Amino acid sequence: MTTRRVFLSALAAVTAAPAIGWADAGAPTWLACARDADDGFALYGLRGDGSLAFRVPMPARGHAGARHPDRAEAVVMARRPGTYALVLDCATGRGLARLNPPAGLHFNGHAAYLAGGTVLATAEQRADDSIGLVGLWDTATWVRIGAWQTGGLGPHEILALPDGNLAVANGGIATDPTDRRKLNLDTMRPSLAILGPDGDLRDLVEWPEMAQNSIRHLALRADGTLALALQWEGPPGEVVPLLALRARDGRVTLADAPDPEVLAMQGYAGSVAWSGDGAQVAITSPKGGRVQLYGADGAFLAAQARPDVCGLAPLPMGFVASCGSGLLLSLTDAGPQALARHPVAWDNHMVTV
Amino acid sequence: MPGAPSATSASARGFAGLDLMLGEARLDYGPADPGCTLVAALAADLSAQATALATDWADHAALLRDPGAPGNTTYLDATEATRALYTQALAMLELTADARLGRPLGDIAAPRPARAEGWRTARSLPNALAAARAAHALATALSDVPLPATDRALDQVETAARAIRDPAFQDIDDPQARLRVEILAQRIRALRDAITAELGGALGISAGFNSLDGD
Repeated sequence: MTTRRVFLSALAAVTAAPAIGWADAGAPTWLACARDADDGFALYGLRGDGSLAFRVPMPARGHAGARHPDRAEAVVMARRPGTYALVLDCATGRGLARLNPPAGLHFNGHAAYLAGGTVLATAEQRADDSIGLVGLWDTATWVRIGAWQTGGLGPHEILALPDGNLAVANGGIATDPTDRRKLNLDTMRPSLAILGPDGDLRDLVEWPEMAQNSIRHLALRADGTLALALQWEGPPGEVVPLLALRARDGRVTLADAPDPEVLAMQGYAGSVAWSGDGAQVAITSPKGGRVQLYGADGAFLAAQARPDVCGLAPLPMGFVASCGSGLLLSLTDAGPQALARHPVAWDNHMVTV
Repeated sequence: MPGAPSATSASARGFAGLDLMLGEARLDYGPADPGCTLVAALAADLSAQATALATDWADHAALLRDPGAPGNTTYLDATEATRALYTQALAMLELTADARLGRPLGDIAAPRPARAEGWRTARSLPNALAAARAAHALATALSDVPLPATDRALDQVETAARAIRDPAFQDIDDPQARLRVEILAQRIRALRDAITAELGGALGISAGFNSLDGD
């Protein structure tokens, strides 16, 4: 028998306002994964002023994701080797579906919507040999409908291109599926693969002369120019570019920065983004505690020191960066400014919704 | 020639240069020799560096004291200023364990006593100990509450330092002497860990979430 007290507490539970009012407070501009102060993991919706729109607990550390081209829906991927992906209503944070990779595969942290949002593509690798795959999911039913080969090992970020193709950053690194240990640094062969709408390989960018420069993250400018963020796996202290640009015609430019600037990044670019107006491209290095800004031609413009910075997203005339300290930082012509600070450690990426 | 040492390599400047010129027994020069002029120039250069540091520090201290003020893009709020000082304390201990002690220790098969800092003037151990004490003092100053584990860790550093017989580490070809320097390095790393746990926890500062484990 339901007592009045139990009934009332149940009523309170189902009608309790969430800690942050979603509906009347405005939908988020960005999604970002974080580690909470209690060491748990969560996904946050962030408004344009840096305030929190919602918080969704995550079963394990999250990484990045993608927004549906039309619907108020986004997918958030687990950190690699990932065992889950969460589809959610990106206005409220409500969960819509949960995806798990087929046996023997794991998610690699990034995803992209294809074919007008009817298909979700997930970056994956085979656990036993790190062969790269793009998993394909029907976004009406969330049934897995197939997979493509990526033409490389350890794919990381994938990005839908305006012409219907898919860009895949094949990091080139074989990893131990249990502890992420890197297994093939002497023989690694990173590549940028462009896959057609049927998964056919349309273009492959490789650089055998700096084969230990892993291609890991991508950002797209409105005109189709891709920015590639790189991570150097060779001897420390070598001056190698950490940013490359691929024009729509396939021409690749390596970004140019003064040697001390390159060295300050400690061989590591963790995120890349174009400014909203497409005039600048930025990379972050949490290892070097530094954000570097480049012109659209790949020429170095400026840098900002900021500890444990990694996540990066466009502002109309600049960027917003997220830090392990909980800081959200705007980088515009007005200089660096604290947008907000939250008691969490922001994880590697920000996803614009 | 004023300023001349600035053009020479960093290793010949400052205390390293003085260590060589004052401590190398084979160098024998009188007041009128070029060697003496060089020592005077090195000392003047050190003095100029110290003055420049003191001037810059006054400017920087203003930024540290007033985080979040308009135009202060270095420290956007108080936590960033605290974090910068906290990180310095940890970095000083890491540098001491890895470079001041680690470089002369070299490989177990090939110790490199000539890489010890200021070994000709027997500054190697005093410098390491001064760094440990300074890091402890900085951590204590940053904390509102006592740091008992950090205090105990400094005691352990002092005990390990007292066991070392040659403050210049020139005896580390001897396995026993080497072991004593290794123990000091361990104790200095333990001091860093104590500060991380005790002060970092209290300040709500955790080690780099993104920087330690990339993707």
